[in-house]
Amino acid sequence: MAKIKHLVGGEFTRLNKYNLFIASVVVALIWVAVGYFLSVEEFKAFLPFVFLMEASAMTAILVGAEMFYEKKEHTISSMLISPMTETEYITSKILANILNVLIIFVLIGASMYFLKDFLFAYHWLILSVSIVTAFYVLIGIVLSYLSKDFTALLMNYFVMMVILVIPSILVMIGVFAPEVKDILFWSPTEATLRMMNASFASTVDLKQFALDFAYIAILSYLLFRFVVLPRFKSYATRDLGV
Amino acid sequence: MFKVNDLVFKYPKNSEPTLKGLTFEIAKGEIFGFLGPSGAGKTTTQKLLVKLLPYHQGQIFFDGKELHSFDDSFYEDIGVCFEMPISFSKLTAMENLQFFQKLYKNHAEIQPLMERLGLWEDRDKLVGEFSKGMKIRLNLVRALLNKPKMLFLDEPTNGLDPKNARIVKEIIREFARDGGTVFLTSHIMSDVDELCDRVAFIAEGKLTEIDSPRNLKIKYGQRTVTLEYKENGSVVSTTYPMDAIKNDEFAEVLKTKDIETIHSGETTLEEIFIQVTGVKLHGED
Repeated sequence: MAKIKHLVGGEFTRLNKYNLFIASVVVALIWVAVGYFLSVEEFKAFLPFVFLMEASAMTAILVGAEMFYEKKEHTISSMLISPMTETEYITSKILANILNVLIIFVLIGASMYFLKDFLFAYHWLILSVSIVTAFYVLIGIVLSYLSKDFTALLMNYFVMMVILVIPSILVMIGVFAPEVKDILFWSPTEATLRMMNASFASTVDLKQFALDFAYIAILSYLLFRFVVLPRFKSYATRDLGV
Repeated sequence: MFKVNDLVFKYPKNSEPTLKGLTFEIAKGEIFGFLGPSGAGKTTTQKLLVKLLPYHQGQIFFDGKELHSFDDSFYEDIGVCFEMPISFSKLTAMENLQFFQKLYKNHAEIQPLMERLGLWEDRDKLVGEFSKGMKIRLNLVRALLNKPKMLFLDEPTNGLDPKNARIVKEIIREFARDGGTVFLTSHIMSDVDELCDRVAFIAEGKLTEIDSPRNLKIKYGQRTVTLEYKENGSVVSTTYPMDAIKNDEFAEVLKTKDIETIHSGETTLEEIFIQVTGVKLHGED
């Protein structure tokens, strides 16, 4: 446990030093600024989009960028020849990013409380953020596996957005007919949106929340067990002239 | 310390194995040089020894136990000095070292190591602002952070000025003198000659030679002595078989001529490298 704590601390220090945390804060402040000009009802309608972008899209690109730096500077190799497992390393990345997203959401939540007297149901928010961020951290790692350089990372990120995120956004803003939402029902993005909505909805469908949570948890496990973990060492040691 | 038996390794995408039955031992306290041209299987062997590659045929023993039976605590006893810089560029040297050191149970003192390698004054500088030589020296500090029993060094003096290269070599020698074991890879043959107790040459996945530098130089050299002396204003060079140096003729030349140089016919490690691997050094044709 002490090792995980140290690794999470290290991850967070690097998020700061590489200005990735600041980038997240700046994006959060943009959301707050947008929220300031909206009514509470408009803001409620806008919130799912904010959550979706922060917990999924931002997390995936942030992790992709972290992995890109670590690979470029060969520090990931240095970690591998230390007494820690790949699981500990990936877990620390997940925990650090959950912490990062939670801080951002607390910042947005606190701002909206003072600006609009708007309060989140934080217990639902923490649960949703934790599982969704874990899933998109793993997506970010997979993106870095598939990308030879930063340009390729951005391209793969764009492809991921087109497949996973953009269809739901298009439904949300009315470009796609509402019926498309039914087709997308079991897409991870829709499950994410349903869980995130619980943090400000007046009533929560507990059964659906549990199903969505379990669904994302299972997807995360499968991704971790069968994609992320088996390829981690070969990715980390590729181009390594030990 | 390490015992390797009939080690065979094939990358999944390759049709041919990269390593074709390597067998060697590295004794405790030994500085063992592992030499070979690019693509010969040097890197693969090292990756297997430090558990960075999972599957292989044959056996690798570390401290008497099969390597695969070790969990990640294996790295408590290992230090790896990579050829390329391996530090977070936006963290200071000290932040980097402290981060990595906390992953280990055993802790070496950072200050004396950094002072010796001329990095202490720059400990609070971002590694991104370091020169290549400073980053390489920092790699060595990183490798020694956990007081390892075994050091893997990949081109440890490459890119260093002569003064720092000497300091690094002194540290390696002291490490071995204190009981540590070293697995060294370098293309700088003078370093290998100076440091290694034994060297192994690998070519196309097979070990082609393994012995002490001295024995190899004798084996691949000529048993001759060449004298150079001045005679009638010009330099004369005469080569005698080693067995003939007790003869009167040799003694007479020594007594009567103005000797300038005396060379035995032993060869250099560079020549042996070319001979046993079939490849020239430093990208020569």
